[in-house]
Amino acid sequence: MRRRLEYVLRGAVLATLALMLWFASQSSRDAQSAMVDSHGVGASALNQWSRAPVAPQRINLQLTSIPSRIERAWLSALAAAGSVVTWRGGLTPVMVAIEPVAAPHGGATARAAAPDASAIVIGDEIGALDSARIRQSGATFVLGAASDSVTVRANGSVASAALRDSVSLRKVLVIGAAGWEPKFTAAALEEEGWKVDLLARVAPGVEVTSGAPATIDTSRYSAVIALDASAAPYASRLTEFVRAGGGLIIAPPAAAAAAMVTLRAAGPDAIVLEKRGAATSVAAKRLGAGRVIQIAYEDTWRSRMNGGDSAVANHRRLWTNLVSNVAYAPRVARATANPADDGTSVDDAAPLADLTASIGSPTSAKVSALTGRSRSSWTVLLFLVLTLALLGEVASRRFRGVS
Amino acid sequence: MMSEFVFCTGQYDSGDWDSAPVLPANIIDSIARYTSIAVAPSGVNIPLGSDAIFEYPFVYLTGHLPFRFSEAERRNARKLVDRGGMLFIDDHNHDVGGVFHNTAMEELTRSFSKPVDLPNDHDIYRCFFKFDDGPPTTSHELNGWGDNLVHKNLQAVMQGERIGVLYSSKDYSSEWNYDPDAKRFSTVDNTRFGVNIIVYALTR
Repeated sequence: MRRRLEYVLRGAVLATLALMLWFASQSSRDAQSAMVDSHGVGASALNQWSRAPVAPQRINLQLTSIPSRIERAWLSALAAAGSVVTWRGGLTPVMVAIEPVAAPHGGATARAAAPDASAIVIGDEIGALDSARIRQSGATFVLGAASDSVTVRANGSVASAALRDSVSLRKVLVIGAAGWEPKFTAAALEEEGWKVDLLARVAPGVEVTSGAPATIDTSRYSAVIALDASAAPYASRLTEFVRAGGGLIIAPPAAAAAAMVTLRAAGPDAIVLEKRGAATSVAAKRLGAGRVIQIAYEDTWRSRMNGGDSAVANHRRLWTNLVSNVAYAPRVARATANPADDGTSVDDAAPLADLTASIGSPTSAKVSALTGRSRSSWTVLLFLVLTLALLGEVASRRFRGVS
Repeated sequence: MMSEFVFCTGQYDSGDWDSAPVLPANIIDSIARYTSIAVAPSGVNIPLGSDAIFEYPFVYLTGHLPFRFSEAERRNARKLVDRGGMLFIDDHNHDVGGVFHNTAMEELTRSFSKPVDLPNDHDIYRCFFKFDDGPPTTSHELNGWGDNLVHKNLQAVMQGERIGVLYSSKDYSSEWNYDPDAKRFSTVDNTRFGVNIIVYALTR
């Protein structure tokens, strides 16, 4: 029995020694690997890995924030040079896109995406502009003309984007019978900075114009507003205009004209943009390269005249928003923003997606569990087993004559 | 169905606002006769100081007596013009030294700014009928009453490039204050400039 126990202990000692020898060989192989367990990557570590005589065979990163654009490019270069770069960490995906608003006062629309219920803060170079809690994976912000680059922050992740384009706007043409609605529609748009031509039918064959109405095409007009049946004689020209990219807004009396039937935003192609109760109040459809918005509102001038202090501003906003949504507004490229010297960039729209594209998806926790501190724990455990087995075997032999 | 144009005569507290009661019907007749503008068959009289005035972006004011707005009338007149409406004020005395003219000028200067002469090539003289010499002369300007002058210009308070308040010393209130059926005796309809005023108000 004692002899059998001594054999078992000797076997355990030999097995433990073999295992420790294997770990030692693994350790010498990993001696060339780099382990980073820090917040971010760090320029010094990147420098060190890049300047080493032999590139690290394995770089395992524990990330608590998304590396900057330059750091990601650096890691991608290390991976391309032969190092296996892996990472893990619970980083929050966040992205932002910004595009110019097609309106004379400028401004931009920023759309941010992050996981549902995330609290996000949008800001520009001056500071925070607004905040929101994400619903259905996204949030939209309308920004003033002063903001041409934005950052969005969510749970430590930062995405940034800069306007790449501005828009080139043409005039707006308002067509209607002489009356308050055409007059105040044109006034609302002019007050918002649009250049407006008004074509007001006063008598059969007689049209009173303001501005200098010209041929309806996209070289002259960004959008046309058809307020009533006075627009019917222009239906075929309006169709060509919209197919070429122009925008058209149709009010109910214009939509009722038989000649306007192909231009109506109705049927399966139409998208409902706004409802009042069960009734659709604003619908849109695409026609060729252009867009049509059909509204159910009539006599909007009454809200301007009768409303409170903000009535005029609301009336302007109603019409400029409608026109902005359909306006033909070809993009004009702006000067490209350069990355900042500190490695941050004004245009880093989806940093986590870019990290994944650069060095791959995050590794699972199980793969990493065999490395790092866990290996030293195994070594201590094995040394304990070895010591206990040796002591047991020696003690057994010393006490062999004692019974 | 778009709303139709309704000719509105403004009631004000200080004077005889209803001194030309047939004028609205005559102008309405001319609008219907010469244009396709949807126009209500009869006009309305609305207190300038009431909120109902904002249903009528064009308001006609006239009288012989001293002209002064109450606080509510002044507030509404400013708001109506600021929001894009237009006032047409005609001196029924056709007298630039008379009480209506002097008090109306004071009131307009107080409520808006001092009216300025409207150039005789202004759009209002060309927007429908053509009046190459500016405002048409009225038969009442030289009738021995008032200042006995032919007034060469109308005055206006401008809102940017648009007329906010049109002021006349021509006494169109007398010239146009007759039954529309009497037009058949005229070789030239003298209310044609009234059509221009309405077309201008509706399109500028």
